[in-house]
Amino acid sequence: MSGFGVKSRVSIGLRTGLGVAIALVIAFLAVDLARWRYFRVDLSLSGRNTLDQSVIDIIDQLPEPVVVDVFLRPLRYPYDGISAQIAGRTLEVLRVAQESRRNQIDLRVHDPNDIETQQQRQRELGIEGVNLVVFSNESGTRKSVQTLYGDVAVVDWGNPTRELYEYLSQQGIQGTVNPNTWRPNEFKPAQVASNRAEEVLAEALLKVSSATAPRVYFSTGQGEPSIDGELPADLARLRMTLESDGFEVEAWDPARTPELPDDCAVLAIIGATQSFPDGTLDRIREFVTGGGRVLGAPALTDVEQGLEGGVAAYLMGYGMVAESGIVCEPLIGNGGERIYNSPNCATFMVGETGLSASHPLTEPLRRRSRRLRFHLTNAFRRGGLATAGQLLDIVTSTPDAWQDLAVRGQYDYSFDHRTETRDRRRLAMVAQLASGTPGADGEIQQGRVIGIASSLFPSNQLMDVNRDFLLNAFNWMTAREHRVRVSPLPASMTTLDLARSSALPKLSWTLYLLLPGLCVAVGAVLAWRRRN
Amino acid sequence: MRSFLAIYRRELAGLFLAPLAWILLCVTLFYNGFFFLAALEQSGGNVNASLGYLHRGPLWYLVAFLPPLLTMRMISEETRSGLLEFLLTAPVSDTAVMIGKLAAATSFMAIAWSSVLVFGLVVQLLGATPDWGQLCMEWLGAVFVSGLFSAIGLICSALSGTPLLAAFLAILSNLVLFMVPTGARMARGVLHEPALWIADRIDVRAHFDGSFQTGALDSSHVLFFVVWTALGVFLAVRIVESRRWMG
Repeated sequence: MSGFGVKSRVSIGLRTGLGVAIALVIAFLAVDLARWRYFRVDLSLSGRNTLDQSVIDIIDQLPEPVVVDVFLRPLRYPYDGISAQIAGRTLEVLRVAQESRRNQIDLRVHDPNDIETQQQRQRELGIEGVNLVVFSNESGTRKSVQTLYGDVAVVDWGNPTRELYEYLSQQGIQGTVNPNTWRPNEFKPAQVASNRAEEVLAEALLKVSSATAPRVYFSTGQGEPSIDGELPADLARLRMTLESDGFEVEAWDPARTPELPDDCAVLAIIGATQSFPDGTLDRIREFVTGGGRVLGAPALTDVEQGLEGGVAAYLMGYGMVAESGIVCEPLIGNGGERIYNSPNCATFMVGETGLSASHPLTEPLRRRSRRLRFHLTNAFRRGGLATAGQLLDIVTSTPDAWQDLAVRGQYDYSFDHRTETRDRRRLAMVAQLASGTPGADGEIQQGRVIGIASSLFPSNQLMDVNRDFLLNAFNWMTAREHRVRVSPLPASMTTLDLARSSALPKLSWTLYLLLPGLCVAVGAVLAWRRRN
Repeated sequence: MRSFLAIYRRELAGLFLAPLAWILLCVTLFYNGFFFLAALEQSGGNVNASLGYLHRGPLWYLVAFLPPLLTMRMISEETRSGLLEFLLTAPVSDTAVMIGKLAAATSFMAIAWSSVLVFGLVVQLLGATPDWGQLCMEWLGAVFVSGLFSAIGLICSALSGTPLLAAFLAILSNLVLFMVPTGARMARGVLHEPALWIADRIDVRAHFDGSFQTGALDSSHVLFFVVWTALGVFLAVRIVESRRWMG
């Protein structure tokens, strides 16, 4: 029994209780304060906790905090591996961003099992779906919705079976098969082609923080592919990509409204198969001379039929002369032999050697080893630039390519050395004019024209692969080059070759027997010594 | 300081001279080795991902159970044998006694968890250099987590009369500490803001994942562990102290 009376005990107890309560409050406050004033050092060799400086700059300049809502739902087998890989990488980048500037980014990762909370938040945001990353400002007036499969990561879905294709479609993942090559009863695994988490972060932050969105007009009425159409040759995916990148997309029919809209930042004339109404091309030229920006891509029929007043005729004025014949590259057989005479020769990839290293549009793609895909494309020849300016080749084929000429309206996809030549073919060119008009900020805005030799290049069927190039093109044209200069966060990876070395047995022996055995031995020795 | 060191040495010797400690070490090594090899095979030999995996799953099971087993005897057993009364009447402050015990338990956990550093060394010898910066930060984070859970173990040991009950209470507390923030996140729509605020401030896992797991040293996360561990020691001291006036 202690010598304390009841009163003393109550008094000490109260004081102790008060002390504990104060300590608790101090602990909570200290933890809270530590979140506001802190220092952070990245000690990883790969620098995985350090964002690209351009992204940091964007975050620092945000006018108000940005809320990032992540709605994930893992994909089932056999896509569970890439699903985890993409989600993990995305969350890692988002967490690094949040940790680098806690006051500016509020990351909310929603539990996939808590469907009710997810739906409630999605209603607030006015969206629906899963595997989405949604960036919004605190007041909710601006938002950018990025899909995990498509925007954040580009996935080569291999060849899903019919059942898997339906499953992926149910998950809202489109474009998983190429209707021309899909074999519904065969399965080929999927793989991640590229992960753009850090770029998406930068782009979405910019969109959410930008007060105005540049407006892109697509010409219609001359047989152009539809910007709402879902057919392989249509442009709906390009439109959606531009919209999710902070552009506003509209259609412009020169037959109804001859004058170009005043708020047109970029005019896209893609795949017209008929001539534009009289005077339209002149008005577009005036638009460019006054500092406007145009992206042109002629249809195959436009070039082959020599359409007067079409897209090819327009581009010719800027030194981009579309030539008849489709560009083909030989296929390489299993034994390394060259294969001709196949329609697949007209579908080819352009790697980093075909991308200009000196242009801001292609340089980031080249640095990151991105590739472009062309299908049934013409090529450009250099002509004269009608006005003062600069003309550059930005995408070229390999020197193995040839321009396959149609014989009686048919292509044979084989190289005929008598009529055809092998050479690097110009597939995309850029003209930057010397003239322009002062912009809102007082700087002279020079006219820019990008010519792409195929209207299929930006189409739905090739959008997955060519997405980065096209986004860069529109961003460059609207002078938002900074958006394309983000280098990816390096993934930390050191690999032990388990299949071709003796590492696994050595590790097994060491980890299962040697190290635990050492402990047992030391313990036994100690026990024996204590006993004696 | 001298008294703290004396207590620390005594406790550490007590731990390492008992066969239980070596059995626990052996089990820890085997447990970590098993998961490391499994992760290595699963990831196609990715060393950093496999070493990182140890700190995502296996670490948390281990810290929920191991510190309670180490600390269960530290106060309850000494109270029963009367050794604690002797210690508290000696010219040593209660705080020094508690910090000495906490430091000993944390040191044992640090040694046990240094198996990940040994694994790093082994794979380095086999030709694959791990990200040492990240690995060391993960290890440091694991030590901080162990310190916090050892403090909880000490509180439970001070509260209960028997070691087994102390271990049971500590394991239960650890599991609750894991589950409360996760549960709060799941019930975000139902819970009120203050509850979410508190859950957020005691989220051990998030503070580990936010910096140590990725190889970053972040003062706010370090402070989180230091503050809560200090509070644990403070509470343990108050509980032991209460024996004097409660009788």
